Amino acid sequence: MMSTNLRAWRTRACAVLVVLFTLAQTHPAFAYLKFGFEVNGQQYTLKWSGPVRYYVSDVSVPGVTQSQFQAAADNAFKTWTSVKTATLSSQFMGFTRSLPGEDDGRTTLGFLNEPTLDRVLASTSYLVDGSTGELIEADIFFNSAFPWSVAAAGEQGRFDVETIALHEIGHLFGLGHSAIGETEMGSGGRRVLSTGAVMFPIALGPGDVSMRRLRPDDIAGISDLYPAAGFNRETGSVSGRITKSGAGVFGAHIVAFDIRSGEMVGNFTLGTDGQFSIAGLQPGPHLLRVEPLDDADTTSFFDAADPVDVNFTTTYFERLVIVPRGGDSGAAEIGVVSK
Amino acid sequence: MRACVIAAGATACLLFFTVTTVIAQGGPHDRVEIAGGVRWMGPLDFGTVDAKETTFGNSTRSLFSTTSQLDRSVGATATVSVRAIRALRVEGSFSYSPTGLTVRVTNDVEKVPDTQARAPVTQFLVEGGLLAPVGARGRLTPFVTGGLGYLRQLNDGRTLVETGRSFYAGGGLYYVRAATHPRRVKATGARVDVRAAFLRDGVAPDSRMRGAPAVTAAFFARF
Repeated sequence: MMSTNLRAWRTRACAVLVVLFTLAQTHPAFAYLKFGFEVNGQQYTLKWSGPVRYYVSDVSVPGVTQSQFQAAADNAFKTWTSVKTATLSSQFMGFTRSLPGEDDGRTTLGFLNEPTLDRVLASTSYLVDGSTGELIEADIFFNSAFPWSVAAAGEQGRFDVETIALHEIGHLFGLGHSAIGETEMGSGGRRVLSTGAVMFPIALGPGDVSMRRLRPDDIAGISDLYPAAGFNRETGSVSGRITKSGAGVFGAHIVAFDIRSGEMVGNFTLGTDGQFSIAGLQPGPHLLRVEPLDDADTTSFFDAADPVDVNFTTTYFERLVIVPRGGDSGAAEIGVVSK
Repeated sequence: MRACVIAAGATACLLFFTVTTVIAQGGPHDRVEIAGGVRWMGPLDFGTVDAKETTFGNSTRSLFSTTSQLDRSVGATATVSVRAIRALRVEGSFSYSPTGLTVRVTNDVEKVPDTQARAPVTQFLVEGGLLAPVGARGRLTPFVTGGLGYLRQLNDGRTLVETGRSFYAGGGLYYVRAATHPRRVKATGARVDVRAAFLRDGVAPDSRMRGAPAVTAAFFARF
């Protein structure tokens, strides 16, 4: 079996993402950045056709045994597979001597010591069959160069395995990053002020366990990728175009805010025409907020070569958008202005 | 729900006391009344919802705040009432009013100036209730009224239909003139009523009962 090896750590994941941009424009509505890839000229969305059967490396690190690691990973898998509006499942197959990153056909989670990746806590990689486009395996490595913990309430100075596993398993299921979060630049780099999605690319920090729970943006994303019966019928979408001086804006981040529940679901404009679509929304009135992608490196979402425009001010659409049940709100054209 | 019970209770009490003191209204044959006019309804406050994000330690931080309301409205209303007994009329009404759902956005962390967004809403009310005159002073007849109804709100483009319930209690005044063609029309005149209107569900964010003042002015004819 010939296979195309798309194995790469986080930095290469963005390259995989780029392929999706073409894919995305053929979809009428979707709620999230999804990973995609191209095989023999054909484009695929990265997703599993059956249960994710995973192994855990037989490796422990200070503070976390392999059994504790497996229990935390299992909790994270269950958090995703418990989403009522999505149909996905997982199964723990056992411990293995294999390490994440080995092309053995086994989806493996475990620790690797990668001290040179001093800003990468964990990363997900994929192995795809080059002839069929079938997803063979996906591995998640946790960087043991950082201190880890599985304490129920977190442990000061140590990163929570379950929190980081929840984020990476989102990638494993096929989700890209969400931009619902706020950061600020400091002397030590970018610091997270707040986050509204598990799939936000930067962790809140060591000792924090508050992101063990999925947010509406995560739920919309996974449900859009693996929709349960009735999901598309019971939810709706909003679509439109972001423009600046009449031209489309690439890489604008749009958040649909449900004025009744306070839930936020976001997406991006994925082409130079400025088109966007956000699916998986609860029917009802939504406020649209458009902001530049300046709360994380744009390469966390797009390829470095993409013409992401961050030179515009945050803007609210002056019209409340009414999301219908099982349909689309109709085109919303939102003009933004340069900073 | 508690507000609903209080409103209904208050109306029932008013009706009870007024029925016993009523002075005859109109002649014995003017059973049916048809009225048409305009209704003004004040804004309904839907409260504040913040866009919250999670901070370290599971605290929250507001990205921005929203305060929403159903705008005040002016619409058309039509009423048909039938005199059930001498001192009590049973009436049904239909009203239509274009209004809007407005959200005011404040305190954005990116220092975006306060702004607002709006969506047009078309509101229909089908209501039924009781009306009891409380005494006549020449051509003027005060009355009290109360009832309940069905609320239907259509969002812009009819993309979404929201339904709910309405309750009202209030009072008003008839100005009655003798008809110029007494064989066909027994009486004509005008009526004004002021109500406490309570709406539940519809485009509201929850099922709480919310109240607003409403004033109706109409011309009527009795047959």
